[in-house]
Amino acid sequence: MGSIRSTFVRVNSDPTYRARFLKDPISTLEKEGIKLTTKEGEDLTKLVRTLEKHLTKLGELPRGYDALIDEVEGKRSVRESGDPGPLII
Amino acid sequence: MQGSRIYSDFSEDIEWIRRRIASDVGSLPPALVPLAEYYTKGRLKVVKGSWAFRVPDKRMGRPIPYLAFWVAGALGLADERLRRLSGLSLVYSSIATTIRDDISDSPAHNSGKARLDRFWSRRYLETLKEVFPDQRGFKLVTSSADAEWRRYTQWQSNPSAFGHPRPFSADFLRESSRYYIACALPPLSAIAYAVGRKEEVPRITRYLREFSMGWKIFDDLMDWERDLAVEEMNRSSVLIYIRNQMGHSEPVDRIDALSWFLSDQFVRNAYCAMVSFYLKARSAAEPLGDSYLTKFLDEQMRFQTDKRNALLMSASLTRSDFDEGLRLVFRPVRRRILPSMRMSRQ
Repeated sequence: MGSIRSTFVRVNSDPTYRARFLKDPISTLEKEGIKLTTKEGEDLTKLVRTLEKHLTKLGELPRGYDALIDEVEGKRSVRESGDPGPLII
Repeated sequence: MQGSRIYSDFSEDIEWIRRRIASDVGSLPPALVPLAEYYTKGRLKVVKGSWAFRVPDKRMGRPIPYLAFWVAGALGLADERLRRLSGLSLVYSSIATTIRDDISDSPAHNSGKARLDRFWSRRYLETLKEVFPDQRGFKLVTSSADAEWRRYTQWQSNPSAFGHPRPFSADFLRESSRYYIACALPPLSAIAYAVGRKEEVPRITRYLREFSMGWKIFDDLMDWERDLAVEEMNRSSVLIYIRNQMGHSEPVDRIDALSWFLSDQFVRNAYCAMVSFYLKARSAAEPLGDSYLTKFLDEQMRFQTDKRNALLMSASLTRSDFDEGLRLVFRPVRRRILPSMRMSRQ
């Protein structure tokens, strides 16, 4: 049987487990013998939804350094029209 | 907006190329113009379009068509017209290669793309001939580029490539980046021939080979989300790496990939591999002296290293937030809460 503590550790350090947890946190914990209260289940679902927004921004970061700095500094990324010069990649 | 001098020094050459491409598009039959504009304005952004798009980072590399100008400078090509023509031929080659790649990705017959491929390819060969008229002597280079393209298309249809165990290795990336050599080698070699320095072609080839392998990782990092939707994940080095690490043969999904962007090991492996190829490319160009070819790579190595560090920092903050969020769920009283959760509760 798993424990809350081991869940914390694996979510932090094991990307494969983290992905499974993000897709279905409640079932993942239940399979490990951890039964949640209704309140905990609701809060956990809310937390995972919040995290997915963070992760989406993280996944966008390799596209741009400016966006990356915005993310780190907590600013919104900027959309502008303009001429960057040829961009043939 | 153009940032570094390695780009801004050639702004007049760029405008000249843009006028030529716009004129080419204008010379096409009206039915082909929208598709031609898609490739020259939307897809490759050679000609200024009316679309608003995300401003690219000033530090992000833009090797095409500048590679032609940098090679011209490094090899001592003083003729402005030839320099511009070599850049133009690189642009023609890029457009034709992009269309050809799209055709091979979608086997259904598309006569518009096929006609445009023939149009740009003809322009490409005509321009290449203007840079170096003696095409017989140049045959070895064009044959070599053709062979690279054939090997690239063969690799795309070889099922074993999708199961490669080390997608950040030269063994894998050499195959996935061959299109770049096929596209850029003839225009750059034509410059070496034009100035009587054809002995530099192997050095240019090595530079391109090493650079394009690093560039492919960068490209795969940029396009990972789009590649998820393509058959065999578009053979993206990034997605194959993630799939291998997850230990299964199924394609990865969006959450899998996002979870791996939180992994320090993944970020370090991807960016370190990229920068190591750039270092090798730099070594290849060093004997040509202190040129824009090496300056470009110095800039890119700094840029990508900064990106890697910032990504690691951002991932660390996200993991920390998640950890605290989990503690909040299970032990709400003793821990601080995520700012976004705090807002949603207010």
